This record gives sequence, C-alpha cells and structure tokens, in this order.
Amino acid sequence: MEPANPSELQNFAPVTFTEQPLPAATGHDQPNPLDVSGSMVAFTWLTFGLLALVLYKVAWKPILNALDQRENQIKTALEEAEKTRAEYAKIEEERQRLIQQADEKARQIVDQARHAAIESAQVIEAKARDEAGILLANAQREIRSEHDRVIADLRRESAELAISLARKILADQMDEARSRSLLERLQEKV
Amino acid sequence: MAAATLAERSEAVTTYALEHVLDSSHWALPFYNIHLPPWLSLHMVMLVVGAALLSGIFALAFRKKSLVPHGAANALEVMVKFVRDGIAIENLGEEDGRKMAPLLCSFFFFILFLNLMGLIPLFATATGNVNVTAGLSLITLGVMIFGAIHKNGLGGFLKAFIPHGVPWPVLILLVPIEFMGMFIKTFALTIRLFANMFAGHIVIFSLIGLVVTYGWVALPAIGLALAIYILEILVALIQAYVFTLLSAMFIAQVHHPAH
Repeated sequence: MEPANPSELQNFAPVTFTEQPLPAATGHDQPNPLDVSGSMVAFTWLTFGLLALVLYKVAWKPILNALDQRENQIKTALEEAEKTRAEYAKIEEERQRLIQQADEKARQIVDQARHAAIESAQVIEAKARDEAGILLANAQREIRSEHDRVIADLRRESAELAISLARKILADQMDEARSRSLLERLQEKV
Repeated sequence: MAAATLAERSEAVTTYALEHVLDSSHWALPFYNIHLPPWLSLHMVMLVVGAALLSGIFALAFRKKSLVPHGAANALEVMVKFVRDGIAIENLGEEDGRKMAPLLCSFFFFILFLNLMGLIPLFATATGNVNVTAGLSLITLGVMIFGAIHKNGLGGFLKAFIPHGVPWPVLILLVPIEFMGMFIKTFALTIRLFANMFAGHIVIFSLIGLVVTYGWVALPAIGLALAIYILEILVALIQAYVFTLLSAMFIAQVHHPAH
C-alpha cells in the first residue's frame, strides 16, 4: 500500500468523514449486523442440538461418569484409610492393655515367687535348726552315756584293781581286820 | 490504489471490515473462493466446522478410557469439571446441577470454540452473528420455561413471578416486570455475546484499517491491533464463561424461585 500524500495527511479522519460521509450512511446496500434471520436461528438450534447429542455420548457422559467414579473411589479409599487407622489404634490400645496386663501378672508372679522363696527358706531354716537341735541333743546324750559308761568301767576296773591289790596284800601279810580297815579307807578315797 | 483518495480508501476499509465480520455467501480461502449455496451462509459453515472440530477433539482426547486422564484429556476434563462444579452445581445445586452440566458444558465449549475460531485467519466468527447468539440464548430461555414447568408444574412456574412479602398493589406492577425480565435476560444474553465478539473484530479491523487509510505513519496501530487481538483471546474465554454462568443463574432463578 502506498503512503498517503502529504496534502491528504493534513486532512485527518474527522474532517474527511464530515466532508464525505461513510458509504453505509449514504444508503449503500450494506448489510446490517442486526438483521434477523430465522433460518440462521434454526440452523444454530440444529447444529447445537446435534453437537450436544454427540458430545453427550462422546464426552459429557463418559467424563462426568469418570469424574464421579474417581471421586467415589477417592472417598472410599479415604474412608477405608480412616477405618484402618481407627482399627489400628484399637489394636494398639489392646496391645498396650495386654502388655500392661502381662507386666502386672509377671510382677505378681515374681512377688509370689519371692514370698514363696522367703517362706520356704524360713521353713528350711527352722527345720535345719530343729534337726541340728536334735543332733546336738543326741550327741550330748551319747557323750553323757559314754561318760557314764567310762566312769562305771573305771570304777569297776579300779575296784577290781583294788581287789587284786588287796588280794596281793592279803596274801602277802595282812590280817583280816587290818586289811578291812585299810580297804574301807581305800574305798572312801575312791 | 495510490490514486485513490482518502475517502475512497476509508470506504474500502469499512466495506472490507464489515464483509469480514458479517455473514456472507462465500468462504474466502487463499487462492480459492468457495461460493456457498443460497441456503447456506458462512456462519452456518462455521457452526458446522466448529461443532465437528469440537466433537473430533473430544472424541480423539477420550478415545482411550482410563481412570486417570493424561494430556489433552486431562486439560479438557479440568474445564468440564469446572463447568460442572463451578457453574452448574454452584448455581443450580447438587441435583439439578448434575442434570444441567451436559447442557452447560455444551454451551461453554461450543461458544468458546466459535469465539476462538473467529481469531484464526480463514475462519469467521459465528458468535459475532446476532442470530446465532439469539439461537443459543433462546435455548436457555426454553430450558428456563419448560424446565421450570416440568419441575414445578405450570402453577409453580407462574408463582416464580410473584415475589414474597410484597403488598398486592405493588404486584400489579411487579409481576409484569418479573415476567418481562425473563425475556430481557435472554435478550441481554444474546446481545452481550454478539456485541463482544462483533465489536472486538471491528476494533481490530479499524486499527489495521488505519494503516491502509493513512499509510506508514499509522504503522504503530498494528501493535495496538495485536494487543487487542490478545485481549480478544481473553474475551473469547470470558464471554463463553459469562454466557454459561448467566444461563445457569437464570435457569436457577426460575427453577428455584425461593432463592
């Protein structure tokens, strides 16, 4: 397109338009943008109707169904996760309870065992003490009886010795009277 | 063209812009001009092309069914989910929202595609045709009226026009206003989408037209046109969203008059 010549450039649009009105305003056969055309409206309906039908089949129904399906799936998954979490919490609680219970029971058992051990130790000790007492008593009795027996033996042996001595003396020299008095004295000494 | 006067050039630009924004009987492709049969117009072709493209893209993206989508299917699904949760269920409630979601998704994607197609060279903007937007908003009106009659019965539908706790003399004024409001809302829906798409293209053509009319001195206008073009992409998204959102709100207002 050639540039406009300088003399024309001086005439700016408003001036030009007032001097020579637009062709549309002069009654040229220009179409009006607001012309009403029933066939165009009907054609719009037809196209839109067909398009809406096709898109309903091809797009809206599958897309909206897929959206619903996905939303439901996500919702179900979330609910399930929540349920699982609640269940896990319950299990955890139960586990804690069981551990506590077991702990308590173990402590009880240990306590009981300790008590039983102390008791049995006491019983054993008492029994040992009794037995020791009995043994001691037996030993003492035996010692005493042995002592008695030894004394009796000694006495008998000394008497026999005395008799044999006396017999020797008597046989040697002594009269009966003298020897008796002597014997008595001896006996007393013993 | 060098000999053409400023007025002639501005007239040519106006004609060119209007020809490209308004409906026409031929589809101008590079090196070839398709002349359409009299019963078919360019915007009708655009409607069909848009619908076919949209169906094709969705069919291609969702040909494999998997629980977790990938790539394009993922992106489309995010938008579908947004329309369902952010527009349908948000305004219509859980039950009605789910029922209306397919319709609102169709609205959103069809309008979005038609809007965006208008920004691609070779295609025209069908949503820049008031008859197309009227057709679409009349569907909303139909859902408002027949949906409400189906849901609440004829009596329930008519009761929606009687506001609660208003003395009866005021009702004489209010009921017709409420009733007219339903049609005004539909009309506003039509004009809002049409005007946004139409005006955006006119602005772009006008800015480029400045270069055609005034020559190189107007070259910076190309930068402005580019900025408006980028804005148009945003507008295409916003208007698709707004049309869908307002449709959902209007339907909800008639279906749940208590709110």
